[in-house]
Amino acid sequence: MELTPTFEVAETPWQRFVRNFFGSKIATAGFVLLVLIVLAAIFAPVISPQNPYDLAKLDVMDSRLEPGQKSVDASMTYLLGTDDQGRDMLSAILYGIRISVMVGVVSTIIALSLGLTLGLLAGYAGGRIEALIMRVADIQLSFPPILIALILLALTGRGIDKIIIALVAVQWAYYARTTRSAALVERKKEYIEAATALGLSPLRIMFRHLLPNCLPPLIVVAG
Amino acid sequence: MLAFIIRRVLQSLVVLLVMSLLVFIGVYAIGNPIDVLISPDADQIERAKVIVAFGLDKPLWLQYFIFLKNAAGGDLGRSFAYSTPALTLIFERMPATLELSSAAILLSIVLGLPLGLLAGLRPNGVVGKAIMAVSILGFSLPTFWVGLMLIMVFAVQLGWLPTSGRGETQLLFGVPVSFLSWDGLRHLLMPAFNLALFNIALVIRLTRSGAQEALMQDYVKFARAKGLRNSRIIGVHVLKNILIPIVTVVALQFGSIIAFSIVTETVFAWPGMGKLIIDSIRVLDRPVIVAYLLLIVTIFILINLVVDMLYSALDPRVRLAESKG
Repeated sequence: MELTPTFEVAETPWQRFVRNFFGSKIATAGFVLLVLIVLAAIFAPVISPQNPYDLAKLDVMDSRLEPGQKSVDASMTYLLGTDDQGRDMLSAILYGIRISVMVGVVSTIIALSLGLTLGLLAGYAGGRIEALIMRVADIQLSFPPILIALILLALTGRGIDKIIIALVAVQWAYYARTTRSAALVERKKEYIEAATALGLSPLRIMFRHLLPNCLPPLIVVAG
Repeated sequence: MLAFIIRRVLQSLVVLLVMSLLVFIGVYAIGNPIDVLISPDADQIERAKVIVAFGLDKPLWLQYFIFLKNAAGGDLGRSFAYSTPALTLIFERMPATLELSSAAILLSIVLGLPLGLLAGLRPNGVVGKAIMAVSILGFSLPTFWVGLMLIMVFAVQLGWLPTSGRGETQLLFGVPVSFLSWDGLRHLLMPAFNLALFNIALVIRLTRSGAQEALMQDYVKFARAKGLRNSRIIGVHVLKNILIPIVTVVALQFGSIIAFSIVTETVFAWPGMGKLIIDSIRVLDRPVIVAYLLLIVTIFILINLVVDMLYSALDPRVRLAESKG
């Protein structure tokens, strides 16, 4: 009989993450809730009782109704009441989620990538690059968000993309400083020295080796 | 060390220059302060008089150079809206804001660190889970709502604490402060807690995630093997190693609640400077906006300077000398 070595199939980091994540009741509940909110946003036109943007469907006679009241022509019930224009609050919230989720997700992703890259670069490279990035961050941190929004509004006009730009401008500096603080410590550890000695490119060291070890505080801040 | 500080001061001068230029151009882009400040009924002659009085008849670059020349002498201009020096306006309100922000940050460290450590040491215990559940509330409840609820419960229904204002103040080195008297402390407690709530939650989460990671490290096992007391392992060895991200984030939060704690200041009618900047932006009171933001950027630079020095104190691997230009 021939002996064939058997290997246990190692768990990939992703599989381990999924197992740990769904092992926690709170995390699973949160995940389900998040999925429900995103689904509500995607299917807002299908599930909301009324299209709040369709002026033809609105009736001013229905304005400021309390939750649970029927409309004047008795065609629908306003589960959460109406606002002063006669819009169904439930529908307005469902449509509102779309914009909020989109703006929140997109701006955080962009700000996180930007802040992370600049923070890693500052922490890893040091010197003039670090000084430049961190002083720009100081300026950014001191600007009131409302002023950034007003200036953008004046220069480029209205729009969701402007809101996202303003939010990115406000957030990236937080991520940059947090990443840099972790990178400053990590860069002095043996594994980075080892990676440098192996002759790996700085980009590879920064993103493959330094980055994963700088993540824990960032995840808390971005959350 | 000295070279490090001198280099930082030189960088700061450049930052101040860039900041003032950005604000000048930014406010110019938003609109004309004259349109906001003068009533629409004013006639042409009156308009022209005010424009000349504010120096707005000159081209923007000339206005900027006049500002720079005066700023070099310590004069950051007079407020368009109040016609008092901008710095006086700000300094009148600053002690109240600094006191509130310091109290809030103190609360978030004093409450956040131990709770976070507790949650990190016993992640599966009832206490740890309860702390994490409460910290989610700290993240997600809107500040203004919590403020109103605090007032409703503790001021209106229980009558334990005053609803608003700063209370009795006493002079400390010529600066009015409220934390020295019982009445002032009672006024300070609610707004400070309101402002601290989000930061307490943040510190708890950062401390917990740091502690969980640190507890698996070899130095903790070694310290245990050596027979060190648990309190010493946690309080000295673990804490020192997880403080860097916490210090970073707390310092960032400190800066931003000094600069922009408008919501809490409004809810509790706290006479701080957060409202001043919003009002000034609304009427495009440029001298005040410029002076305010220059002050805030200076505060941020100072805070970050202290933080960078703390890094190397906490972890000798981070050396200041290396971040030279």
